[in-house]
Amino acid sequence: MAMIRRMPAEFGYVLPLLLLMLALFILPIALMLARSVTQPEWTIEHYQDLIETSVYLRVLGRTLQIALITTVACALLGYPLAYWMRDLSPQRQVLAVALVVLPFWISILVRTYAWIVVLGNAGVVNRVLLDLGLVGAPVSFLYNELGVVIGTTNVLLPFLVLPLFAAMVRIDDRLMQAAESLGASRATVFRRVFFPLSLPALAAGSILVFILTFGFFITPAILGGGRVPMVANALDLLINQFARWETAAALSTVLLVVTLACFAMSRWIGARGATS
Amino acid sequence: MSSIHLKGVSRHYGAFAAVDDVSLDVEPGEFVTILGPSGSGKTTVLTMIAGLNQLTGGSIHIGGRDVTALPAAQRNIGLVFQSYALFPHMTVFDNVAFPLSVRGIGATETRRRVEEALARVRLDTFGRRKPSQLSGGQQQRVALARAIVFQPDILLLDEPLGALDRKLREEVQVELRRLQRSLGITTILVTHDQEEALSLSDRIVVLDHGKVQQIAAPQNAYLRPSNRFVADFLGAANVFEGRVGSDERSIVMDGGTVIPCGAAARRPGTPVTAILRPERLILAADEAIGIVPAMITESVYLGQFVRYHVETPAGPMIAVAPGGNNGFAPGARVSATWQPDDVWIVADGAAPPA
Ligand SMILES: Nc1ncnc2c1ncn2[C@@H]1O[C@H](COP(=O)(O)OP(=O)(O)OP(=O)(O)O)[C@@H](O)[C@H]1O
Ligand SMILES: [Mg+2]
Repeated sequence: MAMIRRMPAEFGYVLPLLLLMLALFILPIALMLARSVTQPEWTIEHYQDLIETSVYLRVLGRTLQIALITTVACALLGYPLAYWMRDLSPQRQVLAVALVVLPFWISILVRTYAWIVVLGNAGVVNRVLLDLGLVGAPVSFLYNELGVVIGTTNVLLPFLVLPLFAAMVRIDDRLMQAAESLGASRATVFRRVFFPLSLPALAAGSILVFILTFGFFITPAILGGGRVPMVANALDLLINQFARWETAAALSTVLLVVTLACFAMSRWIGARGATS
Repeated sequence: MSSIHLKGVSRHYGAFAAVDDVSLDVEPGEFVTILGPSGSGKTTVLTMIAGLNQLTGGSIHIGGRDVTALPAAQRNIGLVFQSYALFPHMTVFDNVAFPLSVRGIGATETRRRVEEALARVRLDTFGRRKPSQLSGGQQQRVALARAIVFQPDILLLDEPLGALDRKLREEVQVELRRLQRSLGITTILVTHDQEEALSLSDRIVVLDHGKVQQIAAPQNAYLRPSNRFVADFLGAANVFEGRVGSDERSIVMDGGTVIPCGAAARRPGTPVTAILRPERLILAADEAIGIVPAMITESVYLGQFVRYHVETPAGPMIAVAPGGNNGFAPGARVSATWQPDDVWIVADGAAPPA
């Protein structure tokens, strides 16, 4: 009772949505996860299966690797981009943000297929390389891990750049001016003042990219050409090809645990950033 | 201990002059206050001296050296920002140690100097806190410690006491003045609070619309303002408009009232504006003895002082008298007197300068 009385009145407004989420999202997930330990009876055999069948570990390892590489690539490309955008005039900033967001309005499928046009064996890049005589045979950008990383980086870059840019804009210019007037060189100002202040946003954005890559489906399916299956693709196979629901449920559990762990880490970093 | 010389310093933003042809010479060890309303260009002057803002005209010399083109990092100036600008991700200790560490000073020496600087602003036990865990007044003092710890040649303070309540502000003012004297450091303080300017500084620079209105010692600026703007900005004033009388020691107002004043230094008949500070206007109970008769319309009790609003043949006037319990009641008929020298002619003509 005490609990309920302390609930703010606004709780009534979110109740319908909460019930909807519970019935259509949380419940099915819970049932799905339960399946991994209750079929045919209480068991951990499906998890043993995951560990003992090397293919699942390989898929998990590859997913982890691609997610890490994509995260690093997004950070290395996104940080300078956000930093550059911060110093633009307000009008140009709007333009730059629009350009960063623009890909969101194009179907991810279209964007992914576009990479085939650009990077395929007969694609734009390879033709230029061949015509210039820089390579003797087409470079295989696609249907390998490189292709998947290029695709995921392209899709996920805005998820890093936008929050990072927003955080950078909030950093008070006067802090850098103060550091400068206290005798710090430009490089020192960046290293000791600007970068540490942007770090929580960089970390949070990177974790977001990592989580999203970890569960990515379309891009690895198309740009990997089935040769670079990630966890989500493996789930697709398990369910749609082999009807192995229990193993799929166990693999999903692993996916969920990794995601939640990352999420917890980003909350922790965010909380630390807020108190400092 | 360095002198500061501004020669015709200007800062234009497009066609708008935020700072317009400002010249100022500050002696070594002097405490100068720049006083002006919001938007008058005070911060802009300070940031140009610090090297954080480009000049569009003029030059700046510090300690005899032309620093106009010198990067901020090489000017060795202690600057306290209007917003303090403490580094939020560093502890108080690391904030104060920052200028020392970028100068490559060793750990033990750094520790000694940071502790000394924090002790000077009475925050010795706060080193491990983050700025967000301090009150506004404490943050201000950390900023001050950070600005003095590396023994800068000059100290620039941008409204450093703006966020403090009245009592704390007075305390910190005293502390600041003591600190400045003990360090003997050339200091420029920016404020829009005239009391602060009058109480702290050796000299006051009054700024309006980016232009210098007057540079003078506090008492001179207050009693002998160079124009109507300075007169109004530094405090309440009774204003007389009229023409210089034939003896050149009085002002004849439009209604014929004669106001005795100091030497006018203008020809008889010249239209002039003059001011008389309220505490220089003396009210006497006897209606007959004063210069003009007056009737009390309102008396406002202010604790230390009582402010009387009176009606006189020269128009409404204000008088400030020490607080006491034998004051005048509204409606009382009294007379108003002053020393002729306290009536100060601020400008020719009746129209106040824009
Ligand atoms: N970057 C800028 N671009 C255009 N105008 C500016 C810029 N910086 C300042 N100004 C203008 O210059 C004028 C002086 O600004 P400044 O900050 O020096 O005022 P201030 O006297 O410090 O005021 P306050 O007491 O409010 O701090 C203001 O009118 C301001 O709008
Ligand atoms: Mg200012």
